[in-house]
Amino acid sequence: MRIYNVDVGDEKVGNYISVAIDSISNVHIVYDNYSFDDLKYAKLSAGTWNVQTIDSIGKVGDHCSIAINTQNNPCIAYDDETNNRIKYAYWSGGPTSSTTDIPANIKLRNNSFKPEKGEKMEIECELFQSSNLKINIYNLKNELIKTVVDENRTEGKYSEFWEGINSRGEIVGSGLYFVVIEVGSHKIVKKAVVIK
Amino acid sequence: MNLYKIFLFILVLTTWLNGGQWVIDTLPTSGYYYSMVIDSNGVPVIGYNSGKVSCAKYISGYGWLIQNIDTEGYAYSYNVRWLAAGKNGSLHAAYEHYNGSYSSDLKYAKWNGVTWISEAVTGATNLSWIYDISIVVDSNDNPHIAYYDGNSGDYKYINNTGTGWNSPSVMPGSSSSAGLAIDGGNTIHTAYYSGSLYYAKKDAGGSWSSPEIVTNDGGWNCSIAVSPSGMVAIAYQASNEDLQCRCW
Repeated sequence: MRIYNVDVGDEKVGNYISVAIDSISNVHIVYDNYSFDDLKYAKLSAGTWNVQTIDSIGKVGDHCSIAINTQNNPCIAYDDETNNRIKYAYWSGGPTSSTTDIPANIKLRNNSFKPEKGEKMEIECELFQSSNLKINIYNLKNELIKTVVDENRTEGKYSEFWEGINSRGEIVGSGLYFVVIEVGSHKIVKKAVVIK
Repeated sequence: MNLYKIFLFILVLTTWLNGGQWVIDTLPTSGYYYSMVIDSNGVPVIGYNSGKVSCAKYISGYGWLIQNIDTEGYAYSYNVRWLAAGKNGSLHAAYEHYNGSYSSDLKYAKWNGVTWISEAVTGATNLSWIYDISIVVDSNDNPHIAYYDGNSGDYKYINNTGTGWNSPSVMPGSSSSAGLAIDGGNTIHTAYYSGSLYYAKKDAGGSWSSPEIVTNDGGWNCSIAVSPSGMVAIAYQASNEDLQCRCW
């Protein structure tokens, strides 16, 4: 029996969980992130988990359920509570991943923090290949608040920090912010909460 | 705000991995307790509750086709599948029908390619409470259902052999968040939380194995899947509210 820690960290996940196995024994899991009301997905392929946020628009992810279609791709039903609608997500056009396709493993630590007390958020990036790493912070109006890093990096693990300040060095207001991590041509969006 | 939504939508849809992408669609209806299946013709089907038991089928060139499985009833199934795909495009649903006065029946419905035909499950009627209803279908297109029986407080199993329903039997443990899965040899597997996370299986025609503890570290909201060859995966919430999975 293999034990996997699929999704660990400060964010609370797994009020709703659905698992499926495809015809080549890859394991697919869909679940909710109820810290931020997002829909998440994890796939085990060749011994490695690829974890993604599929939908983070509004309050989504409850009551999720997954099935595998005839192309071995995941199909997911889930709730959009904000708009009171059923949503359906499916992977189209190619395999969801192989281990060589995953550019990075990204984790946020302390992503609900108080800058005025000296707290900061850690963005842990494990790059599986040399890439340009760019991390931008946006507010709810889609305004760029701060570029945390924008430079070429070699393969390896890095920790970047956002102290809750804007590009002028001022502490930002309380609220929700989006952490947009670009690794080469791949984009990953995560959320952070600043508390005053 | 619209620009912000468009921005995020584009970000999600442009998360390219090896030429593929997530495509997200919004259905023209609302519901809860979804059960996603792909029928044997490759059609995506979403079972959902909306005061009645319904399903939405995605028909190429048409869109989402909404069907009532039953005009009444509830599929209060938490993290488990109450809709299953069978042979030749058949679909099978298990759900609760409330009769009033604290009396409920376990109901079963089958899509035969033309219409949904429902029936109360003999041996599982007039129960005070039913929930966590899970269904799988064997290679003979016969249903196997697990459900919580509020009269006895037991989690029970019942199956139809094609000629009628067998008497319900008590499954291992008194459980919550239980679910069924079936492999290519018609062995039925279950995972459930009852203080710890447990696993048991039942060979075709046999009895349930002694439950094994999968973990004592949480185990809530578990979901089980089995491949045709018998590979088992159980995903669950650990005690620290992380996601864990055990596979063998």
